[in-house]
Amino acid sequence: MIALSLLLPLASRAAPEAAACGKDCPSAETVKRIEQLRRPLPATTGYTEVRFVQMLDAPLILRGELSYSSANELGKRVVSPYQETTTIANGQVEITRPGKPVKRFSLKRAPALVGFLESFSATLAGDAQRLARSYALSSEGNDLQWQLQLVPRDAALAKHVKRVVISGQEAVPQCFEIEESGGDSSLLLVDALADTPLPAAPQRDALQQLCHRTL
Amino acid sequence: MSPRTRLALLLGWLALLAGLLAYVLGTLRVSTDLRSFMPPARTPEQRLLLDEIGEGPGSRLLLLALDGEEPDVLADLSKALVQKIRADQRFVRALNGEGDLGALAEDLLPYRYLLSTTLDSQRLDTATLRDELQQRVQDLGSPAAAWLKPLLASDPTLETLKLAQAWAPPGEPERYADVWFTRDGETALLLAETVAGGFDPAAQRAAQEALSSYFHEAAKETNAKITLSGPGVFTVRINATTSDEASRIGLFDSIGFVALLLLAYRRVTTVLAGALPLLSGGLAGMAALALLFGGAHGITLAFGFTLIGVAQDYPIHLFSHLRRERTPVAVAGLLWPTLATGVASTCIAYLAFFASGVDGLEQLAVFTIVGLATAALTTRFGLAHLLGSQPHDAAQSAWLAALWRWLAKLPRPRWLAPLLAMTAIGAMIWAPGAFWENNLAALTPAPADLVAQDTRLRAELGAPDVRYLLVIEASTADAVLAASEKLEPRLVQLQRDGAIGGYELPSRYLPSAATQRLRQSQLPDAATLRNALASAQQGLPFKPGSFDSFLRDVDAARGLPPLSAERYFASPLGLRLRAQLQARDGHWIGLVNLSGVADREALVRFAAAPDTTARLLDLKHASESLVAAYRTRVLYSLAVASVLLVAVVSMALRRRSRVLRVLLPMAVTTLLILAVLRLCGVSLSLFHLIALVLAAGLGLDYALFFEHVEDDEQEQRLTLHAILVCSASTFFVFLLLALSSLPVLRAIGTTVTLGVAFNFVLALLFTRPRQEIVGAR
Repeated sequence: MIALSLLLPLASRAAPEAAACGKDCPSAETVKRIEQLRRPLPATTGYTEVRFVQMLDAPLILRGELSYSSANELGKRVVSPYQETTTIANGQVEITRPGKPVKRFSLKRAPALVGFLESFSATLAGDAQRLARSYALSSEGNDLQWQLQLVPRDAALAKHVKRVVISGQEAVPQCFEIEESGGDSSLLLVDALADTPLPAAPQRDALQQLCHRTL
Repeated sequence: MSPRTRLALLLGWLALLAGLLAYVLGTLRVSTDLRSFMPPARTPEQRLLLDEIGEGPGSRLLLLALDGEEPDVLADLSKALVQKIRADQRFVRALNGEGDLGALAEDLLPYRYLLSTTLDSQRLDTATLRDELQQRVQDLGSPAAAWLKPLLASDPTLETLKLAQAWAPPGEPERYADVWFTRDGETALLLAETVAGGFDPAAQRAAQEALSSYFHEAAKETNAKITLSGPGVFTVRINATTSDEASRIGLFDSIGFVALLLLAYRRVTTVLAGALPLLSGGLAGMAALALLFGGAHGITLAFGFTLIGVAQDYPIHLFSHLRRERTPVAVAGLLWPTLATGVASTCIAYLAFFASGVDGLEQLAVFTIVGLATAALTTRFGLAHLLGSQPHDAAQSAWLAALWRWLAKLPRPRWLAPLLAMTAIGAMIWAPGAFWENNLAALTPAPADLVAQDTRLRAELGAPDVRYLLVIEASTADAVLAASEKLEPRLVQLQRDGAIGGYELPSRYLPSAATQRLRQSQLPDAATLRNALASAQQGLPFKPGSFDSFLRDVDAARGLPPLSAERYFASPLGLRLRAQLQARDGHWIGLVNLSGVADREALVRFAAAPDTTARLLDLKHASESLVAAYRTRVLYSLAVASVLLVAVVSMALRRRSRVLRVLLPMAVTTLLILAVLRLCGVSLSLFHLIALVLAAGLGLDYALFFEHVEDDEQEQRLTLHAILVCSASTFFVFLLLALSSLPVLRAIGTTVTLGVAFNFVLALLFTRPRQEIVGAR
């Protein structure tokens, strides 16, 4: 799975007594729902990301392609409104833009990203246990239309990530919503929702409704 | 003397020795830093080597490699290890690649515009700012957002990151999980710089043991292994193998020596008592060092014990001359004039070393003089009283009598001495190869596998070269920095040409005041910058007022005095600059580390160019010139010592023919040893010289005793017996050293072994009075 070897030690550090789920254990239904989400590798999906940044007076809308091809590589390619390729491997992030020097930095410098990656990869592996180690889990909805809520257990991660909400239909996740503790947030629409047409300055509420649809 | 008084004397003597031992153990500090054994520096190169660099920054670097586990485990170990090392006083710094960003101290932040090279080629105008701000929007949309967001408001052009990048070690290795790894990703890499010089075995061993224990503590539950490399590791390893081999040989030596004495004297108590004078001499010598110097260098002690080894012969002379009809004290009294002449002349000769002006040699003189005198006096006034009256009488043995008669008949041509001397001198002149060995390391070579491993790790880590260094000297810190800046473009060229792999200039951390002022003058005033920023922001989604702290910082930077070296030293990065920029009695020096030196010639040409503001320091050459200077001092001392020796012997023996007979074997032997060594292609080192001195001392004693024989045939046989035992035991002891695999032990061993053989034979042939042979016929 995505960056499996990389993320495991992070997870175990987040919850030392990993195997035994002490409190806020996920319900059997939640576990079952997560296990259904498992996907074969490699996988590619188009995506649309909407980022709400406090420093900016309008959200950023990026479209492109996500690929998780092997156990230690996640690729994110932006095609619009500009070109950019991000590779995350071995704890290093590498960002390439045409005509600019490559930017490299350690994943550790972006804790919020670590939180997202952890939830993303564990979800696509259908690994409820691993997910439960780092997050308190809860779920709503039915098999047709569902929503998973992930709240970080570890204080260090909670300092950066308030919560992650994953929603989808049947066995396919369609939205990843990351709320950062500083107030910024980002919505990642994948799979069937990836090509949804959006207004120039979409509202967060409207996007959340799109994700949760019938809920 | 009654057995009871003898026992009391023995116990008193042992108690005295125990007291001396306690004093020595309590007060004598043994230093192992090679620098304290060296003479004062004469050339600027040597001064740099000794005072300012301490054998080069490269020599203090330990390279650490961790492997045998999953990369994640290794990365965690690397982080834990660095924490421990940083908390340890024995280390200057520890690097593993993590935590190098954002190192500029909070109060120095506005200085970023004066430290970064950005303003050398750009201005903070609308075009630049617009390009930067567009990139920042993209940054906010990328995974880098979480990392960069806290910086943006005050630093939209990301100068702090550019500085962090510029300050990262040159030729940095790959990273995994934030820490350095080899390219294959199997081995985590770290660098640790010790406070102690690389050639100080004791301090290096302590530092390396601390490293190992930190590692083993951290890696208890893993299969990870640690590998250490670097000059300090070589030093410790060489020191250990040398002392291991020396003590192994020492053990065999002792067994053989005792067996030989038992064979010669047939009394266990006699043999045991015979160890007392040498033991007393050694302890008294060390106590004298503790009293006069407070400490001694390890090499002084090693050389010193070699030199006073001659004192083991004193009890042997006494034992061999024992007879049933004379008390031991009477025998000692008869021998004393001869023994005293030998000891006194040797001791007076060593006074020459005391005047050499080199600490190590002065210590050597004190140790040897006190040691030899004590051994001789205790033999005469202690050991003689300790012996019983029922000795083994060597004069009665039949084989000795037969040997004596055979030797007495040997022909002894007068032309032999000049012939041997001329031949030896000729051989020395015509022998191939270098006469002197200046590279001390050649005597203690590092194991090939360690060297190969070091080369590999050094390449992976881009660690600085151990041998070459550029040195900038100027009257102020700022002048050093300015010179360093002038070097930069030319070093870039040198690197492009492939002559060097990389370089590290002091101006990389702190530009000169002039450069800082130039950059300062490029900063726009508050109103201009505000306008430029406003037009750059047009059409970009940044909220108004987003970059107010940026405007404030730039305005502050315009009014700052240039950042000085003193202020920089006080910041968290100060240590790094201090390693490359140092004040020394009224002037400043800057060190430029070089790595991956591939073309030495190009480097030498570069340093010789008239516009080069730095000097190339070849540490190997500097240390070799120091060794050569050292040897010159030793040779001068030896010349003075020989003159003193001749004078003392002449005064004691009066007649010219007697003086000649005593000194001739010793002199010819010295020439012969040199000739044989040179013919075997051996280049001579300090160790050979010291061993030559020992051989000469032995030769003097043999000759004095042979010269002193009385007309009584019994007495003559006893003297022969004594010198046979002396030379056989010394020959055996040093023969084992000569067979050692270690060049340093071999150097001492071969020289002394040859010396004993030549001295014995030549003393027989040259020294004994001629008329006595006539009588034998």
